[in-house]
Amino acid sequence: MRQQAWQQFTQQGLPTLRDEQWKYTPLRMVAALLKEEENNVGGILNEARTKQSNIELQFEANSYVKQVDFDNVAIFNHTFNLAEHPLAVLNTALMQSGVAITIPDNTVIAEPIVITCIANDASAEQTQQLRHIIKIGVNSKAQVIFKYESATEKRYFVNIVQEIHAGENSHLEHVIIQEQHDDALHIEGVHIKQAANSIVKSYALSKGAKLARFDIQAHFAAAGSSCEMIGLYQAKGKQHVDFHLNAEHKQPHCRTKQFYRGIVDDKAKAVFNARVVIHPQADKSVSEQTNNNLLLSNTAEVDTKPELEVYHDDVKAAHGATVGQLDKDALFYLTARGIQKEKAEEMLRTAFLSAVIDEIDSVMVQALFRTALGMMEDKNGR
Amino acid sequence: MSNNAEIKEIASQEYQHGFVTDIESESLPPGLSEDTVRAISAKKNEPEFLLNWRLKAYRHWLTMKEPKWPHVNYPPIDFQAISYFSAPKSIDDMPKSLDEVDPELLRTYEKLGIPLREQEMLAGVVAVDAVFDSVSVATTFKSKLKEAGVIFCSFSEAVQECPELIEQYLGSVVPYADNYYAALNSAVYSDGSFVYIPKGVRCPMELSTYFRINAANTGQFERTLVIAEEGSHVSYLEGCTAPMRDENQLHAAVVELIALKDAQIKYSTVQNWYPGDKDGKGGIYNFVTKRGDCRGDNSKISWTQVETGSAITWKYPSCILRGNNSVGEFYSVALTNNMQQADTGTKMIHIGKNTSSTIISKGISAGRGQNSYRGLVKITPSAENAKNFTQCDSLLIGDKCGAHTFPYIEVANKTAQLGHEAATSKISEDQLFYCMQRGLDMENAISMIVNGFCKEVFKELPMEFAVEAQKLLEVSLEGCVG
Repeated sequence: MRQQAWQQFTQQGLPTLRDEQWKYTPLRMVAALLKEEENNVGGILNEARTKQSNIELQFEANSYVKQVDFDNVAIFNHTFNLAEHPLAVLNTALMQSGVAITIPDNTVIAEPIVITCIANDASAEQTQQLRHIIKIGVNSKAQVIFKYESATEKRYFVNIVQEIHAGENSHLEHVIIQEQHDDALHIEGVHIKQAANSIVKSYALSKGAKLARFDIQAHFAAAGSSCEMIGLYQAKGKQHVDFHLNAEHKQPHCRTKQFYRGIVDDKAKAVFNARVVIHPQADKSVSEQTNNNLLLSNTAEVDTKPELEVYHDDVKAAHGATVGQLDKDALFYLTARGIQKEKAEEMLRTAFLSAVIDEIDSVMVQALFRTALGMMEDKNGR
Repeated sequence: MSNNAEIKEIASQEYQHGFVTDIESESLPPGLSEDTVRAISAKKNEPEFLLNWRLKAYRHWLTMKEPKWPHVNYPPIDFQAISYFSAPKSIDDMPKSLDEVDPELLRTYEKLGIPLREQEMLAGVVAVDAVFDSVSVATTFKSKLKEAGVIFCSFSEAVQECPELIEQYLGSVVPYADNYYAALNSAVYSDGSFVYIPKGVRCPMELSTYFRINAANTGQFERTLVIAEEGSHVSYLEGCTAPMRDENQLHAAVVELIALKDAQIKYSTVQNWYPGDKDGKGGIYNFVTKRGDCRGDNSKISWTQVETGSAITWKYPSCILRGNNSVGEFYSVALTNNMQQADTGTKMIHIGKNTSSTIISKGISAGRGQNSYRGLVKITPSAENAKNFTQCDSLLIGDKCGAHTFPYIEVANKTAQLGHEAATSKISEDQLFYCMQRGLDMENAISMIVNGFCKEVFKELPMEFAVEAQKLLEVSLEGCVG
């Protein structure tokens, strides 16, 4: 499998700006790191590249959570089409470590499963490839939180693929909090395959990294499923953040909601692309897409593209996107009441992001997001 | 439904403008080479610079690849099988007045309802420059326009009469290397329209061109150039119908608009080319590059389009908002029925300060039609206080059609305010029930709801077109239910 994927990767290479999916996100820095590794470790598929990982995975190991067994090749690449994801091909060839979370049928896990991935100094020497596999059984419920942090100042590249199988009637809350240092390169693909009547809620927060790219994809394999993708991004300095969301409605009675907000400042760039495809047989599909951006500097840039492809008439689909700055009237109102300008701006930013945080079901995740964003507490002390 | 038979009858209605007029055409044999380009240029008696420009475009075209990104499907086009020039034979002795126009031609126009002769009175409102195939045959009310200093003539005439304007402006908005079909057009365009409005003049009437594709197997390569000098104002109408034909016809036009300081251009299109039959056989490929350049401060360009015809419509009338305070507008209704496909939308490039743009797009899909909106709103760093509002709604009639939206929004200035809204839905059952409960049959109820859906766009059309557009929509939608 690795050999095959490696061959495919060497043939097609990294995507370029000519690829529609990568139109706004250049991978020059990633290419440079790969080149460097080629010189250091050898540009071939060898043990040195696949055995060792310098990302420390911290989690409480128990019967549900363990390391992925990479010898068992049958478990990989079931939730997405490899041909469409060049970075997942690279990951398949070189994957080094990751967690496997398996929740049996009829099990409710009350405590959140927290996995903290910390990059150390050595991670700069080669690309880091993580593969997480999550399987939620029939009628089961769980909450999984991934935190990405760095314990190094060096630039490194981490390429992550998550495969999520949500069983029939299951309920999964999937959380990503990305707070790496400002020179990290982070690419992550989250591929969700949902069985009938399952509910998946994906909450993402991207704050760190020089380049952060997320592909979050929901694939409804049976009727009656619902997927919520809710997230926030904050980019400043020379950061580049890119979210690509995708939901394929191939079955009737499915529902998606995509709600993202972001604040972009300095020379940063934010890219947002949400796509919902409603296939001919997907009766009574409901989809909602919303993306709002605050652009705070003249050197920053936002490229947003909420896409809809609808091949059926019995659906409800809407989307909206806005790009703007802080409301001048609101700012005036606050400053007229004796609040300092900086404080007032802070309040408005908080309010802007709070609208997204309020959509999150779990109070615990809400609090995590608020802390990560350094937001002041609201009146309820949350 | 009680009147099923009637609906079937309407549904199977043949394209009512589908007829072929028997006029001898003087065409070039099919094929494309440098010689074809030279031959067209020679036939048109063109100055050196134009031939060179055509050749440059042709050579560049050879290096380009056919674009594959639009959301449409069609068999590959054999560019060697197309005849690149066809003109009614009477070109050698151009008619001096309407009386000299080939009577066969006039009959064609009568069938189309274009009033050239008997309705000269009515045509007093609209000056019609009728393009029959690739050569303009008659232009009405030239004198009245001349009085105002307006130049409104066929492109080839303009080349002879005011080559300096052509040299200055041709290709300045859509360069020959812009895209595949623009390059092809630049190399082989046969004719088109030319409008020049001098400084401070408000064009005394609405200008109008009727395009008509006639000779079988002829690609139509129109070139339209509208120049509005400082403080001028012009409203330009373009309407199209085409006769029935089995082979697909390629239409790759280029339209360039230039609005200088304080000028306003309003460009309206009603496109009703042959859409192909129920199974998608035949029909026109409409691959058009339309772009307006708000070059001066306070200028305004407004595009209004009603697209009901063509097997494939693929066009993005765009505005480059270069001047400060310039305004761009785009109002569109695109309807796809049966096997029609449309990938249309607009581009608004904000460069100047305080520029604003509005996009209202209504897509209607019925039968097995596929309708895509693809738009770009780009705010460059220099565009302080730019504003954009976009609304693109889609209506789906039937469960085999598709409606798609691909809006690109690129913002690089913090003072920009822009919003995009879109919704896709079918005709609500409540609305239908309400109308039918009041005694309307299904077909009428749908037609009424669809008209309401498009009203925002229709009200932007000039009066003459608004009525036509509404009728067109009704005809095109007939037979989509039941």
